[in-house]
Amino acid sequence: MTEFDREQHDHFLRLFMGLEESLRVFVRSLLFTHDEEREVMQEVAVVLWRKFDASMDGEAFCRWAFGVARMEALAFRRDRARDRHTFGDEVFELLSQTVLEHSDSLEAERHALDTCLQKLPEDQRQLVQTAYAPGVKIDHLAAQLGRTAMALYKTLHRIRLTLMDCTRRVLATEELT
Amino acid sequence: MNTKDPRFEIIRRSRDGNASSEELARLEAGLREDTDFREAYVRYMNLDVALSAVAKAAPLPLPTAPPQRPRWITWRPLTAAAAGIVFGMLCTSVVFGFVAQRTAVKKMPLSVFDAGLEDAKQILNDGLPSQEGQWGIDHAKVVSADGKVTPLTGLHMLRLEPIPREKRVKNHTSRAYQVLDLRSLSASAMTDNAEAEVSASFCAANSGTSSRYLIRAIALDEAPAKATKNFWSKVESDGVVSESQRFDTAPGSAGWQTFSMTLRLPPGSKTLVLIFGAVPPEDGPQPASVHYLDEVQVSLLSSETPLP
Repeated sequence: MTEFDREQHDHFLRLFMGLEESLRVFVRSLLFTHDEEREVMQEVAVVLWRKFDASMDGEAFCRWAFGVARMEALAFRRDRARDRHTFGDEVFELLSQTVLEHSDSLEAERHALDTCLQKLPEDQRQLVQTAYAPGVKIDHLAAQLGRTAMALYKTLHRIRLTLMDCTRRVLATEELT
Repeated sequence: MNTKDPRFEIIRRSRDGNASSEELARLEAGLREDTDFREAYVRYMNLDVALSAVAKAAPLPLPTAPPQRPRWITWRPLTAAAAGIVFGMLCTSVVFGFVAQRTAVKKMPLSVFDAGLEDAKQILNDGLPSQEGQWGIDHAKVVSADGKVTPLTGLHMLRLEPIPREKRVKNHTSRAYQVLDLRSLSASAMTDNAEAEVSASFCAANSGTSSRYLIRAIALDEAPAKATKNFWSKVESDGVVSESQRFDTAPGSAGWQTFSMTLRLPPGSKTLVLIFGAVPPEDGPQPASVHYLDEVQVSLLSSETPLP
């Protein structure tokens, strides 16, 4: 790798890393599983790097990156999930706008999640970490726990809602102080 | 939108794959027409992504003590944990996890030369190459679609030829090698807990039998040109950190399989040698068969300093 290549690579990484989480949330909101999100995000990263133009500033990179993410998610759904529902263009656009407009508050909520996880009862915290571990299938985990998959899905949903409430409270408290 | 709002249930059902077509259509309508609902949906997905990052950064059981900082001389091979399945020629995924110790884990891609094995005209080195920017092989060649096997991505892949049992060689594993120069990585990226995550996709020409694949990563504290000299004699020495993982597939596992492993990188690592192989079956009736390699990827996982 030449010095020029390294500089370009570093420049790309700085831009990409600043945007990566927002892009991931956007992609996640367009797809229906984490595996799909991971796969699409990897393709997004590949395309962004392959076609990266180092003359782009942060704003141009952001617009371009969200466009690429949208196209990759569309392509994925077209090629790999033909039997599944696909959002129309309008919803794609609205979701990308929402993620970008709220990127600061979404980031703050991710940070607040740390505090909120500590507030969860130990068994719930462990359940979340186990259920979200890479490669874990909910039906297998449910069988191990002696529960039905649906019961586990609903328990995890309730925990997520609890965490959403908690992150809001934490951020509101931080604002007051 | 309050979290007690019953519309969260349709978000959950779509997230969990339980939603019917009608429910997904209702979800879309809500996302299109209702700003509050759209924001709630994005917040829910934001949390979902963050929880996934947390679990990835701190898999159970939770560590009870911070890891000790190793020194080069006292390092020994460490047990690698199988990491997530990753695809891509140069994945540029950066994951931040907010875990109990308030440690953020970054995932940074490292450049792999011709990671998708797309250059059919490249000169393949016979055995381990002495520098980065080249593939080395033992009994392998770059091919396009081969019989029923097509490249995972792109137009080409590496065909790992079986080495006949009767051939008098020390190792009958057909292999591919690559050398990465780590010297350009910044000190901030090479934290005490830095790890290299290596992934590769393999495919068997004959999926009717079991297959065994190998990924090996070796970190050395010498620059590539020096590190690759008398390489094999160094592999077991104290200045070398090595991890090897084998992956077995059951008969009937057709198509591409992606495997990954991680290697702890001691501070001061300058060279990373990667080896990918198709291991022939143990002595028995099952003949060695052709396998394929595609989409190699390497990332640096590093932890930021814990927050107070």
